[in-house]
Amino acid sequence: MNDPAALFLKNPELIRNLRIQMRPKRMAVAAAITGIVSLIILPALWPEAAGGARSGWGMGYLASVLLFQSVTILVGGGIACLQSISREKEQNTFDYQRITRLSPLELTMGKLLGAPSMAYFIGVCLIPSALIALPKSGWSFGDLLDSWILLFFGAIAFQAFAVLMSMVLRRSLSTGAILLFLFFAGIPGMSFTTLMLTRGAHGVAATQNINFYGISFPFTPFFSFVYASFAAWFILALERNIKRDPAMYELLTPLQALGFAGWTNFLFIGTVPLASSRDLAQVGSMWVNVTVFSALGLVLLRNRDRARRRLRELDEQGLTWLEAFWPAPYILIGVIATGFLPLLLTSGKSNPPAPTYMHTEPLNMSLFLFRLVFFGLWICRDLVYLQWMYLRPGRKPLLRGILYLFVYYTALFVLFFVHSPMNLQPGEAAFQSIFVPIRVLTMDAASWNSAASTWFIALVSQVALMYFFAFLHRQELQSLATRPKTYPSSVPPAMRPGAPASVS
Amino acid sequence: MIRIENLSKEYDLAGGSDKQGPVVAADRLNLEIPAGEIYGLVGPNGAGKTTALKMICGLLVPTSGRVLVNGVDVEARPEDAQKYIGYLADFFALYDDLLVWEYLDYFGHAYKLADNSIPGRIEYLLVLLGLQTKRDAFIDGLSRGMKQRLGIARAIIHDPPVLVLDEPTAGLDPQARIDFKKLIRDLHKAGKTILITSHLLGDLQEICTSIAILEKGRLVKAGHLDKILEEGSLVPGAQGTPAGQRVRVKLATPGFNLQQWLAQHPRVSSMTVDPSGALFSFGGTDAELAELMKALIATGAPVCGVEKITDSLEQVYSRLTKGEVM
Repeated sequence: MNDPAALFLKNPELIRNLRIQMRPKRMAVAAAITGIVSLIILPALWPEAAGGARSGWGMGYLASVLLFQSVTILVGGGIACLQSISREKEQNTFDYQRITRLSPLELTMGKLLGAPSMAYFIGVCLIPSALIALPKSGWSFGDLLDSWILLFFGAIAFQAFAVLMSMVLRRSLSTGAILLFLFFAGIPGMSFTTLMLTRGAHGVAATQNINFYGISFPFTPFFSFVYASFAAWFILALERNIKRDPAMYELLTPLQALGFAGWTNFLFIGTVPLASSRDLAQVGSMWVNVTVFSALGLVLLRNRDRARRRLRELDEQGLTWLEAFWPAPYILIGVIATGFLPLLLTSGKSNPPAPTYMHTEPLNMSLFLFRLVFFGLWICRDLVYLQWMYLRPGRKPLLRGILYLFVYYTALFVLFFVHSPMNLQPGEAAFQSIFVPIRVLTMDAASWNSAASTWFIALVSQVALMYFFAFLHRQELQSLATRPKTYPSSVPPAMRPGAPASVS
Repeated sequence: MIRIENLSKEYDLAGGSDKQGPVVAADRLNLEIPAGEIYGLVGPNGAGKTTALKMICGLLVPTSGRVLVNGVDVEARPEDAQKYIGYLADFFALYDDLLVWEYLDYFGHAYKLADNSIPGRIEYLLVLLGLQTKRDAFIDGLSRGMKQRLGIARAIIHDPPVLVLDEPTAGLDPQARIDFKKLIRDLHKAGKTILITSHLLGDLQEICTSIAILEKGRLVKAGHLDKILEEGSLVPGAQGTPAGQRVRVKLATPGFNLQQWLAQHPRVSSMTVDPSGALFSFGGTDAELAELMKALIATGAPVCGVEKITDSLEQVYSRLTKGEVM
């Protein structure tokens, strides 16, 4: 059991990070540089026009300070988090932490809060500048506090994601991971920047409330909660795995993964104005679920180490076909379970209407079910393919598998989408979906009614392809089940497997 | 203290195309390490020593089999097992930006020692390991030998009954190695069970009570060091005669026909004679050897010394891994 004192005040990992990063000299240098930046560079960054005539230099300067804070904390702190575990692995110090009696949650929180501590310190150094600009900005102190709260929760979610990435990273991927990370940094960064720009141009009232399933929530508490919830999922994954053997990472249990997918769908359907139409909600949630279930499926894939252990566990029962379809059963159940959420979540009468620019259709139940199953099979097909690739010998087999999949989809997109008009004949869309099942996300009732048989053929082809990849996967499993014999001829026969060990 | 049951670990090499492929780093190992031993694990690079140690510490999950430390299953209850273990890795690293006392303080808290006991424990270890003058120095400025000692201080800060040391003498200068061996003996006297790997077999022979020899993930030989050296030193006898221990007899003055006298004895073989004595293989018991010497002296041979020749661990290891003896 972790008490708050152990987690925050007396957390050895947090204290270690603070001792390393917050030496008085380092703090003095950081404060001096921040002071110079906020006096000389930041005033020049925000053009007068962006603040508008509404609030003069104060708003512009305040926005500059807040954006500098967000960049420092999100990007600087994020990169520190991204290196928090991978660097320790590289330096061979991480095993010493894993073998201590620190609880996984203590280790996680120590890294999450400790690694970016210098970035937060710089953020704190910028507070006086923000307070100087505040009286001339047209904002109240409450508005400023609002922004800081949002920034803090966004940063925690993002940094938890960064620590999670750091945990799963192989050392050699660090540079690539930083670039990927900077790309993802845009998500909370953009939301914060948009908030700043909107508030700068139109006043705080412009971002006051958000309509969630017809209920009005204050903007900052709502998004702070959303960010905190994502942080909690990432921390859960960290807590489950941080002290494990890296070859045995399993970020979430299948049930937790289902919960994550459900939560993401719940937020998406309620936040984006889709809740007025079941048809729109289903299509919208499927677009989100392409990412969610692909990510969750990737998490469930077994590497060769895990597959070997699984095979040893199965020794007595033998290899079943169900194993060859891994992780399809879990993903299919997850897709179908979350797939019914649009039906449940769109039943509230107080849901806001869909925007007029969106094309809506009444719910067609058979179309709804077909889309759901087809979508699930498509995701499963690709995951069984990736699972097969992951077990193939050679360097970075999963990366190779993903690369081949990317090339496959890119080539077919060029073939089908560049040379074909957007408005295909219903039969053509169904035919193309055999190869590029993403067509199912744009299928409508007309396409369904006029080409149902072709759509069924496309559905059956997904099953056939999945079976084909499962067959290949099963062959890899069978080869793994045989113990490797890598004994060079220099090893005397007496020392080879099967020879009795001499133990006196 | 440590019980290894049918432990296997298979993994894949991720090197260049010529080095790829599955490897058995540990192949159904069975080993019992009793409390109070200094147990050496010997083998060439890639024999699976580090893998075995990491599985014992719960840092790697075995493909099959299990490890019990003090009766606790390491895989099932890693945190309970790890409180009994102090671990020092082969390519160890410390936190260079911390002060020496801060480093030990961190691990003292990480091992959940009582807050009020940590300062005393740190001072004790600094004195024990001769680091008291470096208490407030940055780790970055320590020599390799000092860093090694600090690593050991970290490993024993929670006073574990078992110490797992992977190549602890690698890269140390001769004096640091001497100091290190003394420290290991002191820890052994204090009741620690020590599992240690090293390529410096001479060092292991000096400090170990038992050894296990690994080759390509398999256990070739394990047991008490004296017994392994004795068995490993046996010379194959002539056709039809048992393997024998090697014996050297020294004569005070030349003149006695030792070769002729010894050749009459059926248990003597592989004889080399020079004016000062003879080296031969004796295929009997110690009592029979004593009888032989008594008879030799009775004939008037000027015997001034008899010794049983035991090979060094290095020689025995070399012969064992070449399959010359088992």
